[in-house]
Amino acid sequence: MVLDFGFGAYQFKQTIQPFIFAISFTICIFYPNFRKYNIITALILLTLMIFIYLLNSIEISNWFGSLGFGMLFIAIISYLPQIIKKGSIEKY
Amino acid sequence: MFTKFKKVFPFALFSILGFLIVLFWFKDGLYYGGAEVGISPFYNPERNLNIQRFIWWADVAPGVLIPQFVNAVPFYFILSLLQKISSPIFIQAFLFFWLICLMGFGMYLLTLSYIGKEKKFYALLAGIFYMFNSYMMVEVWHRFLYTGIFLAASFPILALFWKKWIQKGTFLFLTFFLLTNLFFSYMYGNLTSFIAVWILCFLIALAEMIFPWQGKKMFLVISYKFILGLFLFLLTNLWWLLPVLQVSTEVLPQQHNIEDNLGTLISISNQTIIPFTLQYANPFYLFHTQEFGKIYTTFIFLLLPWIPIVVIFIGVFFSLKNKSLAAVVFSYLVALIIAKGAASPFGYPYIWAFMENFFIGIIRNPFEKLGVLMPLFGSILFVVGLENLFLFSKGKLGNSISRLLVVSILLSVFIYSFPMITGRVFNKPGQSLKVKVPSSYQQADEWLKLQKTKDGNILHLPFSGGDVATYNWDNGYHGVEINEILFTALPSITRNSGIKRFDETLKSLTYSFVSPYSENKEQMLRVFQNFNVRYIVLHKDINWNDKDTYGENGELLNPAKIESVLNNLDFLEKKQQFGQLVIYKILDKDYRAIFSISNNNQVVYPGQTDIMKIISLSNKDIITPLANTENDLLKSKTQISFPYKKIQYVESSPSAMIASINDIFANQSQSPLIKKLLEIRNYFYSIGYIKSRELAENLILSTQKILLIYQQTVSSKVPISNLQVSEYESLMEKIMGKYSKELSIRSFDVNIKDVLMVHSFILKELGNQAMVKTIDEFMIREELLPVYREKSNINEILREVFKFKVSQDGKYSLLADSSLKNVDLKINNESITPGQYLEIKEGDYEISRILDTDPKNDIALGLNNANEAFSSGEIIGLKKDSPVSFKGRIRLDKPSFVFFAQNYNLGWVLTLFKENKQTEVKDHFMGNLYNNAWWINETGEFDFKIEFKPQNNVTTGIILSLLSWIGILAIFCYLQIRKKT
Repeated sequence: MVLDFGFGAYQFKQTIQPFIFAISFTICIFYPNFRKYNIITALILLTLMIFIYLLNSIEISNWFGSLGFGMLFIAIISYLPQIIKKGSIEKY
Repeated sequence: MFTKFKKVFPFALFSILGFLIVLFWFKDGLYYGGAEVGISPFYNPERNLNIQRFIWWADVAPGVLIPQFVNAVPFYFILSLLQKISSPIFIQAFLFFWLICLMGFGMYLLTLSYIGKEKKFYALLAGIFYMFNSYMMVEVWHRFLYTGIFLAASFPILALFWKKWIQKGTFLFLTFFLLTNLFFSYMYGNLTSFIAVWILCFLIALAEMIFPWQGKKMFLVISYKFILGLFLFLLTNLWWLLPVLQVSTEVLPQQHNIEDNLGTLISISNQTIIPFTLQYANPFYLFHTQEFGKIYTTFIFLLLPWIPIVVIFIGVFFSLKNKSLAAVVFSYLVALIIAKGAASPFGYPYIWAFMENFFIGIIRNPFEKLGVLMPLFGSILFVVGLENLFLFSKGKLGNSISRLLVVSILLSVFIYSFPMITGRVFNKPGQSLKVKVPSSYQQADEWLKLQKTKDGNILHLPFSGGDVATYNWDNGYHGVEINEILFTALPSITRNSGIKRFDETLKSLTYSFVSPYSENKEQMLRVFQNFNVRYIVLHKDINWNDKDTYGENGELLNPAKIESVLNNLDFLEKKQQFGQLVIYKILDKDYRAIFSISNNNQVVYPGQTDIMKIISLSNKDIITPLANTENDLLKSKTQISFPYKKIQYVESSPSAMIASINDIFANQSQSPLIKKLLEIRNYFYSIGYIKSRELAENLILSTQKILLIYQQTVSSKVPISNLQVSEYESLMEKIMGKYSKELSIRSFDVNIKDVLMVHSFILKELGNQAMVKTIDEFMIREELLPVYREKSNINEILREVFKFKVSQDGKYSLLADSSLKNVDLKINNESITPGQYLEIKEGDYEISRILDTDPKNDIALGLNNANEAFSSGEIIGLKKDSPVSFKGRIRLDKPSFVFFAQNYNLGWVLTLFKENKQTEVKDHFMGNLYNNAWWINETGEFDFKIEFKPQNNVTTGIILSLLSWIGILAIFCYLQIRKKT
């Protein structure tokens, strides 16, 4: 929430994405086996973003895009310890 | 033979590509100029060199402080040499060729260092993708900022040398890195290039440091290399860093504030949302202004950029499994996060940083300034993705189909970037960037040079007061005003300085040609004299009514009207006409030199009164003390004080307040008071000014609360709820604590005052005297309200109240337009008429009058000091050593004010030399509302020197940098010798 909107009063619609990011982050940290699904979801969202963008619905496309990109970012960051240790990811 | 060819093939390929592109771009035989760059730097590089080697640009009269372009000196030096043997078009084409070539070849070499030397083909493709992608097309070439072009061209090669230095620790690579920085120092004309380069260096060093972790020792070794590299970079770049860092801290806050920066960041972040940033697209140029044509809004062109982006994401997943490439993925993600700015997701840290630190504001357009990181890392990931896609499809679909797939992807890249190939990349809507300066300009310049005039300025008319112009030349010109480059004989007054007070004064050069001021010839001469004008060049070829340039109201004056005014001025002589240019000269007897003694001057406190009113009421040389300074010397001078606030309408009668409150209850959000508040809130929301928006929101909330309390207690007779009152009070405290002069909401002071007066009235009705006092004190402190308000009779309900600061006791008279003579004027409640003398003591005063039909009339308070002694003396000689250093001799019969017609800056120092003793003159004021005035409290004959001291920072920086380079080369030689032995 803070990373997206700072400290202050939030509207309900503003809380949806951070909530999903929080779940995504929790899954990536505590359930590494599910990280792969997190990535797949992110990629599906990014694909949806492209389709919706091509239909000229920029706002909706942005919503899916920023959600997908955020989840992907979180997922890749969660591999950071592995990459720091071994230099690369052995298996997603 | 074949092996040799294979070695040079990549370079040959990028050279041929560069050559072909340049051939297309310059096929018309015209060079490119305009936009923010102004006329091409290739038109007259020697002139650019002579201006930019000083941080004070005296040739952009009356002088402007621009420290950041001193780093363009090596570039202009080389161009000025080429200028002697070649034409502007050849120099520009030659430079563009090398920059394009370097972009591709540098990226090729960098990619090889990541993916392995055997994959030359893919490295070639990386070079090509780096040259032809949406970011390069729009943000680099179409934006047409040379700093950005230089950055993009040097970026891969800088990354390569830095990577080698960090990996191998060979000093040779660090030396190459520093030399590349020196050759491309022009890019640091924009300080954000410094940030971009060091983010890049940090990401590369970080990758080597922790991907994978190789122990504490390695961490320390790489940290040491990073710090050493940064340290040597700073040392070798001190020649421009020193003046830039020292002076920028002074200049930047005068031009921008935190809210401006934040507003720009947020409005730009609306264009850098993920769907646009991921495809490196700038929607403003591609879709909004459609500067590359409507084709970019068609389905096919919306789809095309996604093809390479999908390939990049394939590259992301394969790279994460590769030890030498995993770090590139992280760098790429960081680049995306940085470039998208405050756009979602995770955009708030940016906003927070902007709110906390003013200087971060220099990256308020992160996509443009730092976005070049994306194609750099993206190009590597693109070829990784392409290779894996090829191998995968080859296994599944066969060789031919997989090759076809690769070719199709590359075609998508080329097709999308077709303006790069055709030259359309430089198109602006309705204006071409191709320039052909009419020959009349050269003729006029030659004629002016033949006059051998040593000092004075050329005033270019019409003067817009801005910095952009559009000319009706054969190929047109639209961009920054460029007369200081076209006219080399003398400095040119041609555009604004970017500092509000000076620019307001410069506008007198426009207003003087508008009735009724154009009828006052004496006043007009005084304006020209104050600006050290010697020649006037009237540009009849200017597109004076171009609405894109000068706005809907067409602020620029018609040259024909100006010509008729000029032809009737008897202090002007019409000298020559070249094409559409008419040259006038001020008669020698009426000319005022750059450095002069004033024998008739007065102190003026200008407040916010417009320049023509001040000039109308003050017909002497003007001296203005700096804000918040007291100077006993000035107390002996004749003075004029203008009120700080021009006009304040005070409407505070109980009946007016009750009417206002009833209106709110009846019409809710449609009542003018609330409607305005909502408009203010929405306005700041739309432009992203967070602090002002929050204040407006809080004011709406507090107004709602106080109205609710009023309704409950006064109308419904419910007892006051302490909780509601304390909530209201804490909201008000928040508002009052944050209402600062820095905020843009201050431009709505009048509306805020109206709302707060309603608050104040309700609180009185509720008997909350403590809060009434707090709000009243706040309004007075913030100058929303005058110190007192008239209430005694019906005529005094509506009054204009002006604020004055009287700096000394004395006998004052009112100065006002004749139309004001019969209105009821009062000073601190005592009636006064214009011309009447009043004894007034030092302190804060207010003057009020009943609102009349013409609220634009200004009133000033004048003190005539009978004891004042007039100056007399003579400037015996004046020699201009350089634009930042003047020497001469002066004789003064009495202590006097001297005026120096360059924009006021504390960096200008006047030193007197008498009998082996040198004295810096300390009493330095603003003269004639823009220039430098000093009070010399001595008599006799002296040598003097006027110097712009901050230029010494450049000299110091050059010496230190030279020493650093000598040191580096010595270390380099020592290491080479040691290696051999």
